[in-house]
Amino acid sequence: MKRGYPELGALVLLAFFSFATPGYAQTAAATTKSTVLPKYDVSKEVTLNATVESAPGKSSNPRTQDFLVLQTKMGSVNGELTPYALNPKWGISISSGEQVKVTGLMMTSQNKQVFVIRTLQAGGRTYQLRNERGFPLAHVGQNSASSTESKGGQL
Amino acid sequence: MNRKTFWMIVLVLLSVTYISGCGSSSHVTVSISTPPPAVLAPGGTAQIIATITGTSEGVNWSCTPVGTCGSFNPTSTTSGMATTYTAPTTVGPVVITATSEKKASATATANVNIQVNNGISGNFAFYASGVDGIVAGTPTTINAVYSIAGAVTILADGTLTGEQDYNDGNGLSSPAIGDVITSGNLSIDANGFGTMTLVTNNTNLGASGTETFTVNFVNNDHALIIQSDGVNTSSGSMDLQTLPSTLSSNFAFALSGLGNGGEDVALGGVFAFSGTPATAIAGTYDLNDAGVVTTQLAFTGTVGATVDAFGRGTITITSPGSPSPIGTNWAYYVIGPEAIRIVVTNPGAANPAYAAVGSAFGQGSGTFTNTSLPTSVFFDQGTYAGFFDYDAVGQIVPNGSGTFSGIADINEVPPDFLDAATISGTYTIGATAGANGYGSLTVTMANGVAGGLIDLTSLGVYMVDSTINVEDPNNASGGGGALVVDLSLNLGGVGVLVPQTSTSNSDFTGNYVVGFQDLLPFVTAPPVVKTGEVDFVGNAAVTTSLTGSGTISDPFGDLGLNPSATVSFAAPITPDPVNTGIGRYTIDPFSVSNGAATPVTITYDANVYQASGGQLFWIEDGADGLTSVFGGQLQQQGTIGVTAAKKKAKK
Repeated sequence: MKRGYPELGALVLLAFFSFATPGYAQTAAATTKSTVLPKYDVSKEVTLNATVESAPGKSSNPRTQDFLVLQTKMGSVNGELTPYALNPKWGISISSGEQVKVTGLMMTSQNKQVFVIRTLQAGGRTYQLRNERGFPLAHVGQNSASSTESKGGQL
Repeated sequence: MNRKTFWMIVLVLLSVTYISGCGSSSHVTVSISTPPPAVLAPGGTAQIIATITGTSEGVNWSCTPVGTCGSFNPTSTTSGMATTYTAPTTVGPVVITATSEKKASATATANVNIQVNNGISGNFAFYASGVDGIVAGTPTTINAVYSIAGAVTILADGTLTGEQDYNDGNGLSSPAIGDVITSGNLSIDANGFGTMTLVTNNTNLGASGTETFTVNFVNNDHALIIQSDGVNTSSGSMDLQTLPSTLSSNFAFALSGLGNGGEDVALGGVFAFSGTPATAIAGTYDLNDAGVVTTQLAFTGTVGATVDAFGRGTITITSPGSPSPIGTNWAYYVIGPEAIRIVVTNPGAANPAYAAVGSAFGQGSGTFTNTSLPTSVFFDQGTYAGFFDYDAVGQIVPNGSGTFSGIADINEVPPDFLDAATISGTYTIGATAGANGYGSLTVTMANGVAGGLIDLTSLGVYMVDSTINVEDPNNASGGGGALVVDLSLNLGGVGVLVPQTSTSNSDFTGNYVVGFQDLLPFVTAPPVVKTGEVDFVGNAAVTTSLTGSGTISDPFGDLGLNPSATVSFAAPITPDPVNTGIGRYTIDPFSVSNGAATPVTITYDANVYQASGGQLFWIEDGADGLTSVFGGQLQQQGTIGVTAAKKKAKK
């Protein structure tokens, strides 16, 4: 992360979802989820209006640790894209300084808070990066015409 | 002449008669007491010995076809003396002849076939799934999950031709008639390890139309394969075809890939061919469409009239829903009358499009019930799907009446794993008309707590013929079990359920072909430097350790081994000291290294479940902290080459 997150705690509370699940080896009884919850709960999504602080380049591997860094009213947020989002042939086109609206969930991944982006609006287009279960969609460009409203709050 | 002189003359005459008799050619015999091997590689050498009786003279060595059959040194030998035969550089049958110097009609012959690849040749069907790159580069960039199936005819000299169907649902696909494999080559060593190059007429695929696979033969009929050309990476297998074969009756099937919206999908079920030859199919399937699970869906299909010389046929699917949630165009490649590979094709290259690949196996003539499910090892693996990647493996002990217990491991990302968890649940195997052997299995308890094996809660189970080995369809042993599809909320993948016939440590020994598919959705720290997928295949000697080498395909540079690298490993194998007698082992650490001056070393931990001495499954243990998930197989290697073929023929 390039910057601090003074307001991130509030954002996480709003997101109301934490994905932190530490691994644990077991040979005896240990805790297990009593019920299986969705990894991605669409009912708890939030929408962020943000300015792109930095965007991973299309020429790089889109699955590196290069997040889509977003500047929001509440501070800087690392936006988690998908394996296919920056596909140079089919993916989204986005650049620093651009105004975007992203819908997704704040999750903890590798002890880092990341905003898992399901939809991204930029340049008058809406890109659907994931389905409502959070599974990444390979056809980013083909899904760019669709627009999905968040079922959660907006910041 | 006195009597003494008389008898001396008689003795001399008898001696002369005897000696002259020895010099006659009437009783000369020649045999080749040390023959050449039945198969030699071009330029290969062999020691050959002839035994001669009836004369002290030797033999002359010759061969046909004259001029292209090789050479001998020396060209003449005495009885019991070896000559060194050097095979020609061209392939083909050679007849070697030893001819008596004393009697030209006294000869002996031996046949030797000059072949590459230990004599492995014939028609093979292959399939694989993984992730393709959009451009050839170093490293390349992820495009999509892709599916590939095809068939090749491999000649004695290793050259090949064939055809294939490719589909990533994201811009890369084959035409309706498939891609033509115009040329190519198989080159393997004595361990059955090597490469297979396919030159296609589709320049959009691989490296300008050329696809390279690393292969490792388990036996003469079966190999594990990975695509390793720096553009694509995937895991699959290659199996000898019986052509032609007539498809009929009931099949179980399972496919995985991308759905119509580019989402992760897995589906499976049962169907029946009708007509002779088959003209139609009808069946029932379950669908996990990126976490949206629908069961007991009906579908039908029209079977194309033509099955070509490579065993490729087509099925046009009709299913409720638009677009069809099971795809519309299927191509299949015959392995045998009860085994086919299926790939969902996208001949119009329309995007988005459905893309999936998998298998269908015959169910035999029996009726399946809850008692049909044996004690088994299950293996379940997701395709590359970001934070939904996972692998699971374990032992299932059914009670015959709908409940089971077992021990299982799962490794999910983000890091969440269970090792040797005690599980229990329910299952049902249907025997209803049109859905014979169609069932499900639900995990209701793990480590004493209600719920799934983390996110694994439900599997669709589709029983196969007890004579069919689902991982090596030409193998007469290891048959039965089922194909499975993960029907859990947060998972999507396919797998197998293989009867567990041996948990003995002593059976887990010898030479093995090993492979895995490793999904890396997150970067932590080196050695994982990027995210994506890598695939591995190689061979190993198993004692109390796993020692060997192989190739890792790393087109996206995830492990710093781009585009691929030869790696070696030596890892301890430890039987589970707690859960004894279930065939579970830990391989910790399992370090693979490329041996470079500044080596790249990836230190995995892995856990293994043994279905038999010949068939084991392993997954990465999440405790290794790499935040990746790998799953794969260890298959005991038989003799590669003509020796194995001769043994098989004697049965």
